[in-house]
Amino acid sequence: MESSLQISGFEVLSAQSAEAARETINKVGIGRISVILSDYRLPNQTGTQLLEWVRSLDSCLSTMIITGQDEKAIVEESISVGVFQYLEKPVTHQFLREVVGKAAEETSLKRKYQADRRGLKELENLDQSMNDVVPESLQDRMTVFYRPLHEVGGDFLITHQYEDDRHVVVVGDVAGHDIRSGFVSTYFQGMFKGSLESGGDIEKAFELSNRSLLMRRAGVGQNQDLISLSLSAIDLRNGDDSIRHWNFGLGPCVIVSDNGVIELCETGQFPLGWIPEIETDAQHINLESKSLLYIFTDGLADFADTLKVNLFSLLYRFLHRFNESEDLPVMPSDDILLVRFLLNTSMPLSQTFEPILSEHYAGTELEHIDHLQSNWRRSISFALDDRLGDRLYDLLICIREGMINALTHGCEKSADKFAHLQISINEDKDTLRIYIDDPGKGHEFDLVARLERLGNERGENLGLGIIQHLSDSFKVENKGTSLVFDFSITPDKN
Amino acid sequence: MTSDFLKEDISALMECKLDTRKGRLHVEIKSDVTSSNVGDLRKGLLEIFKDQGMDDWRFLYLDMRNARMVDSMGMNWLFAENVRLSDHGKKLVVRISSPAIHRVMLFTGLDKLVTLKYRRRKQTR
Repeated sequence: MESSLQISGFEVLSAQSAEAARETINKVGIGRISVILSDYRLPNQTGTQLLEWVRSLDSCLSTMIITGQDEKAIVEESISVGVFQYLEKPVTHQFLREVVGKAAEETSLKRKYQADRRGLKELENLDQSMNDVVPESLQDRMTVFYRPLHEVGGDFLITHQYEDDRHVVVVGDVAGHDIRSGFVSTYFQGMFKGSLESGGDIEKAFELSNRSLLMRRAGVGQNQDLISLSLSAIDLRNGDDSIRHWNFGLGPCVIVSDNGVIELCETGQFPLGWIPEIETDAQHINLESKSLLYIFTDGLADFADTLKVNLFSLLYRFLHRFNESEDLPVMPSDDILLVRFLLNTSMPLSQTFEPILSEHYAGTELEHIDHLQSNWRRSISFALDDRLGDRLYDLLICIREGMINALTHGCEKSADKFAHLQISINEDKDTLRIYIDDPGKGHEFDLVARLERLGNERGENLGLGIIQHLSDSFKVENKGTSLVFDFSITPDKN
Repeated sequence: MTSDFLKEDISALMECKLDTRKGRLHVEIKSDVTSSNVGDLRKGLLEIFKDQGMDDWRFLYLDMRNARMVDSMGMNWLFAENVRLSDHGKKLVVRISSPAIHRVMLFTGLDKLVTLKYRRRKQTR
């Protein structure tokens, strides 16, 4: 058998016992061996015992056992320890050559696959460490949630600190969400980082990236996708009263004020790699009374749509109580990267209002109020679980009344007039704050005073009276076009 | 004597049973009571009155224990039905289990006009 294999071109090492085989394998190194054949009957032990030991060292290595005819029990034992094939004596030269060749090929494929997986795992760890680690200088201000679709993602995060207590944060998203996007994002991540660390302005990095993407576009074949880069960046210096902000193709970043009002920043320009001339002048965001900034990639909104919850409910859940095995009935279809940045450093994070829902509704949505209500319920429950207890329905009644009022009177049931519903949460105050704004003219009289005078009489203001009664605090702003009411989060124990 | 009333178009919203021995007409509402369905509830109740007649009962037992919430339009409907029943010399008894509905009914003062039977039950829907 040995000479038969040698004639076929195999390099063969032979041993007369299991003990001698172990010595040979240890001496040569198991990684150099492609196939192991063993007789079942060996001095002192069986061939399957030897091959079990071999597979414990290298599960990719193909092993074969040689038996006499009709030894069914041996065959079953061999299969149970993962033997590649068993050979019944007598074995022909041609059959031996074929079967050992296939076994060697199988070993090679398995080892390559294992090496690829190991490499991807290392890449995954590297990708994770590059994208969700917050530098020490920003530990008390910045929170990152990163979940790539594959081992490496097309989303990336860059933070850079200049010497003068000035920070730059860049959130990027390379088109696509496959391994290729992961490599491209790493390339741009490195380019941005290198440019910033060598003292360059961020504007230069935008221009450099755009040029690089456009140059690549010239050589792209018809069947290849164009690569583009969406990104959102901020540049802030401690003590300044504004931050500089750029957005190339990413969804708008979100600013939350000290009292819980949610504002969307401008969406900005096309992604990098689309057009030759880009505008690198920054938008300036005034920080007065602003407490939080959120930047996130498109994957967050896509996944919120899939889960049929509001984007901010998902965002809150990811940042506060995310348990991958419990929280994902379906898988995301894109990488997700989100960054929360504390703008007001004099205010601890727990004292800020964090958004859990923000939606604009046209006046015509009034006829779908039940559907809207089920969306609110699903989103609030998704963000807060059962924390509201039975008060969830008090809250839903109030939101319903407020939105019916806004869509009917403020928006006049019109398709081109929009009301804005926002819900934010303040953990320290144990409070949910609801804002309902409409574009109406408002009224000159004092609505709250009128509601108090009305007491519990029925009438056209009954809905607002119910809000005032069920909520923990209630006020109107902007001549009654904005309703603001608070709800305690902790369930009523009575 | 008890008779069953089932009419396809309103059976999804409400069901009724007449208990002539006790003089009670029981109407069970299967949903929330809001602006979205008060029109149908009003029509449904009128159908029930038409079908059952107004002579064999004195109390309308409105079972809202399936409802999780009531809004201002729903409350207006309840007040209006109470006025209609009073005009016919009937009394309205409302059964509820939702704390949210209970709070709204206390605020609006419905509890002073009708008999309100409230037994709290955790909302599971």
